[in-house]
Amino acid sequence: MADQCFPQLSAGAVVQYPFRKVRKYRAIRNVLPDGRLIQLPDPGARQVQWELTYNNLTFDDVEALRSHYRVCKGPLQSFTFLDPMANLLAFSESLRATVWQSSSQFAIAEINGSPRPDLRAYSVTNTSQADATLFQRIAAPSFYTFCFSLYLRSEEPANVGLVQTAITAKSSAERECTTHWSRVCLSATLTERSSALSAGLTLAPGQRVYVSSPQLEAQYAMSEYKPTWSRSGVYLNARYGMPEIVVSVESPNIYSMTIVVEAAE
Amino acid sequence: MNTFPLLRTGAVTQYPLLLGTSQGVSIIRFLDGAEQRFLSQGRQFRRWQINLRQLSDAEISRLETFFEQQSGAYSPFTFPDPYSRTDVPNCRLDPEEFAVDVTAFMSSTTSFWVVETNG
Repeated sequence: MADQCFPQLSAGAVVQYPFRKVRKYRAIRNVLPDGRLIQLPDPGARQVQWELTYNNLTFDDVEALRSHYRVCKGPLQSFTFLDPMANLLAFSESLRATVWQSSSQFAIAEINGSPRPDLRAYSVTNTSQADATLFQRIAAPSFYTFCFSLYLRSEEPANVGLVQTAITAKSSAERECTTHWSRVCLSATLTERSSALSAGLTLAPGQRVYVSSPQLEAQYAMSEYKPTWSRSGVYLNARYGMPEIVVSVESPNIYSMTIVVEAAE
Repeated sequence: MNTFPLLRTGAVTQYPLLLGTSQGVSIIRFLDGAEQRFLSQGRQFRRWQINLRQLSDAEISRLETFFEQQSGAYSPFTFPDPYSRTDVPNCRLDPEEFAVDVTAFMSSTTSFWVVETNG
């Protein structure tokens, strides 16, 4: 495995508009004379494919993409790909899942009254005697630009810390938490080059807030919330879906190209 | 049985909606021009082409989740037919892939068929 992540452009995004994402499924089917079906699903054949079109790239961006293609030896070796349309956090609708870790003791309970009827909300209380962080770690380059967002509410106005960390590097900011649901975010680009990033919120001793819809995206600004359960937008074994990478030089220092990335579900 | 997800406006789909009704018939033609015809499909089935544009990220995410829950064309679901305004059971998705064109921020396009089956 090449152990490389698909490069992020110098603008801080993985893709440009427009791009195409295709999810493929397969079922083995027998059709009876009366139209009834006998089917078996083939979960092993599930695949997702992204067709990424880039325009007006700089030389540095082009070389980053070409270099990555060379390192992966084209379609041969796999790499980590961050789905630009997905939430990079797993179990965003279940803060009690084991993927959510904490530096200390937290009491987490599901509550009624989320920001949207189809979403879940949780009461999160720091029961320890020191500041504590509830976070999730993902396998992604820590030096990329990420935006961590979530809905917050509390019984009384208070400040809550949002944090993104690598091994030693850390970016944090306080966000105001009001008595009404409000969506807050932290956008950061850490300088440390490691292969994992953690994102979460920090509460003071005894502090309780209501949390809903946490989301992490590989871009500067937050987009509409996408709920996740067992599958997140981090694909650890993606591969290039084309045997050749072609760059079109449109004019001096202006390039365009199309890249196909595939991953099994 | 799952139900087809609605858009945030409460609508099932957008205009234009294509609706097809099919009846499988086999035809044997003889040398003298005579024909023998018989039903090759036990009943007539309907299908609907769903064309959706300018969908938000949340709407696309709901559709993507629905495709995943259905495992593509494998599982049947109930489809609220906007033409007859009735719920049609035993419908399936076609083709076995869900393609989304993300054209701009909060603007995606997708198209697929919903086909009625006999279970």
